[in-house]
Amino acid sequence: MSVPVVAISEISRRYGNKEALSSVTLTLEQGRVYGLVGANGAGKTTIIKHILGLLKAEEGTVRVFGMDPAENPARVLSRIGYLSEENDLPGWMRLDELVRYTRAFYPAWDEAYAEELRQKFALDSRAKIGSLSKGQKARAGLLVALAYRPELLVLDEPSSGLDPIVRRDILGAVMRTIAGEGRTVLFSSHLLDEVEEVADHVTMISRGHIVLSDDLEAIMASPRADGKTLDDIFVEHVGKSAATQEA
Amino acid sequence: MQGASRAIAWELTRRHRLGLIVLGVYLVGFWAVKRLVLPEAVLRFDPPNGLAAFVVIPLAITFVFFVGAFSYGLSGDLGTRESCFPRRMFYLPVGTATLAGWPMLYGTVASVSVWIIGVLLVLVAGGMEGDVPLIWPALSIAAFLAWMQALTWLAYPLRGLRVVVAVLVLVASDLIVVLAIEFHATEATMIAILAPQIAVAYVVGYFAVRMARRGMVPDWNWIPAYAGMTPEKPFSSPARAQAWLEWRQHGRSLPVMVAFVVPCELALLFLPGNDRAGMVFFLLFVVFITLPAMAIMVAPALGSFSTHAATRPFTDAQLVAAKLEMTVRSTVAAWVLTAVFVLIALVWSGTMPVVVEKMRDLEEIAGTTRAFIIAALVLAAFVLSTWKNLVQSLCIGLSGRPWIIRSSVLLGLFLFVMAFPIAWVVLRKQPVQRFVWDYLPWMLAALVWLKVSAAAWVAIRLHDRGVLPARAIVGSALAWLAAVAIAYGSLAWLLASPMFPPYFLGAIAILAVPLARLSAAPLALAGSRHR
Repeated sequence: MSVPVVAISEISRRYGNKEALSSVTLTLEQGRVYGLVGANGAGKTTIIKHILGLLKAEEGTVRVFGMDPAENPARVLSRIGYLSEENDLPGWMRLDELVRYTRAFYPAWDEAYAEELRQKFALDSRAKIGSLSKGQKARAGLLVALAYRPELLVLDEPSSGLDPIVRRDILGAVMRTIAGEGRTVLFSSHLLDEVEEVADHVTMISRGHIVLSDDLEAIMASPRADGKTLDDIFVEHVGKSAATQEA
Repeated sequence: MQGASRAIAWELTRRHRLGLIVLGVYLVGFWAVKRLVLPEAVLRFDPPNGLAAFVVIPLAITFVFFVGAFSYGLSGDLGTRESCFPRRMFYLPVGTATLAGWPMLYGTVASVSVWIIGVLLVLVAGGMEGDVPLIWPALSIAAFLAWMQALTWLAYPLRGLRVVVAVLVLVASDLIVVLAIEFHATEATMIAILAPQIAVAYVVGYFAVRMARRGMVPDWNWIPAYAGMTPEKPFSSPARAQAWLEWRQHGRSLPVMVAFVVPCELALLFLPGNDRAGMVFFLLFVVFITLPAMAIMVAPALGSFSTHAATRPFTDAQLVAAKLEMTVRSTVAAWVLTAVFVLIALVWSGTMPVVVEKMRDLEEIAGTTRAFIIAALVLAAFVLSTWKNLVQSLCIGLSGRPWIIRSSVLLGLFLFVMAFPIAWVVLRKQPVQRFVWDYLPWMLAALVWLKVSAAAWVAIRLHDRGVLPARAIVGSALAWLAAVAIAYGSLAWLLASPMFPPYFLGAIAILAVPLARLSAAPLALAGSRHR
């Protein structure tokens, strides 16, 4: 049996008095698209930060490609492509400088693919990142996250606040990533129609608890779904979880 | 308008109420202790006695606290080019004069009140020896605070320039006070000097907020264009790429500041009468000391670290190594620039022969080799202290904790404010000098113990957390010991005199070579990168 791409086991996290994650367990297998959905502040980014090694598990374990990402950041991060909602690319760099800088870290960098993406996204290589619009920054971030064909692509609310055209670009990139050589994608969002469009597996999270985690097909086919949309199922589960926790 | 002024006042007091309460309790407590417990104790400010420290030090701390609070500097990044005035306030439906004016007015009232209330409490408590001026010190504090507000709210064309300008104003402000005390300036003279400054600072503050509200940030884009550091070919390794990023992001700050400040200092060589050996060497000393001083100002910004950098596939040690390489390049660039400026200034001002003559005198006294080594060692000490000052604070910036970064900036400002009065007391008072001399071994021993203990703790943590392998830690320790041995040998050779016993030179060598804070940098990064 192959090692899962990500194996999170019983991790918990507190920020002061607030419980950000509570005994979260999650496994990502190779070659699938995982949708991580939840309201703002539900704990999606906290899970992703654990996967990237930006947070060290206080309780439980996190293994990415069989390694602890906080202990082996260089080896883990070299196999991950990451695009965040914050998109804090250095604003003072020009796009060509960003590409030169980023490619130095990834031996598998595909120059032709990077150029193809740049042209597809209509990005000017001499433009300063700081002068780009939000959508263009997202595209630039996506370019440098995809050009080395990472084994795991992590997208943290990548299309939040973006126009439909940029969102289509991002979803298209996700589809291409899956099509090529069975790579894994973790896609966090609170836009359920997006997740429904690309995900094989959906994990719903509410107030740090996983309330539902199953294949999308199984969720939609379950007797409880009964013709409901993913939106309805999400509201039902999150509402139930919130009521249980408050009680 | 009235609502806005009240809202601004409420926000300032609500956010800083704890500090204001502590201040009030201290002032009342001091008055009560002086009045009830120490009624006979004499309080003297000129020259200050021990009891005066209980007034002067808290007032200095309060003053620094006010600077942070009323300028909104506690909630902004002082190293950025953009204004530190809170952006959220730009959307309030009030005029710019209201936004800038009320915090400045509250700052003025608060600083004047603290001084006057403090002095009155001291006077009421009794036992005061000599007169304490009431108005001009209050105005001096208010003027300085108003300038700090204006400079904090201004946008700058370069990162870190705000700190440099602030320190220059701080020095000028300190100088005015020292000169006023030295020359016993009258109250009227001081008011005439200080009052207009407050008005000018208010105007600058208004325009700073107006510019910031319109999103105006001056940008000297031509500097990177001519720095020749933009790569055209792919980087040969990730380490080179990261070193390039660090240089572009932080490395140029020190050389650019040097390029602005050092020529101004060297321009003094061109003034009539400044061609005597004493003055020439004094000015060269000022230039040489400027670089280590500027390195202290630049250092806090060097440790900044973004999520983008944190997600590079690099170890913590490699990321810190790139920062260290940047500090070396920055130091070298700054000193090369300085050397060029100094040579040009000496030649063009016609003062080069004065320097050459003094160097020949040294050669005659010490011999050619010894004279060369002495000059090289002195220069090396300045260069190394510049680098040391750049790297010492890396661990603070890399900790990623805003409260640590802001506290260190405030502490630095406080120490800077206190340095002049302390030096003044030590230089003028023989009893103080005797005390320092008598207890110097103990003070040095305590500092050495602190440094070595801290370094040992850091080394254990580095090993336990797996940030550095044991071999690298041992290697670094050996390299540090070698550097200390070289420093000790140089000092022993240079200062071969019974005046400087071996323990003294040894302690100086240990304290001079960076260890604890430098080795804490990867630990701080690991802590902030993998929280």
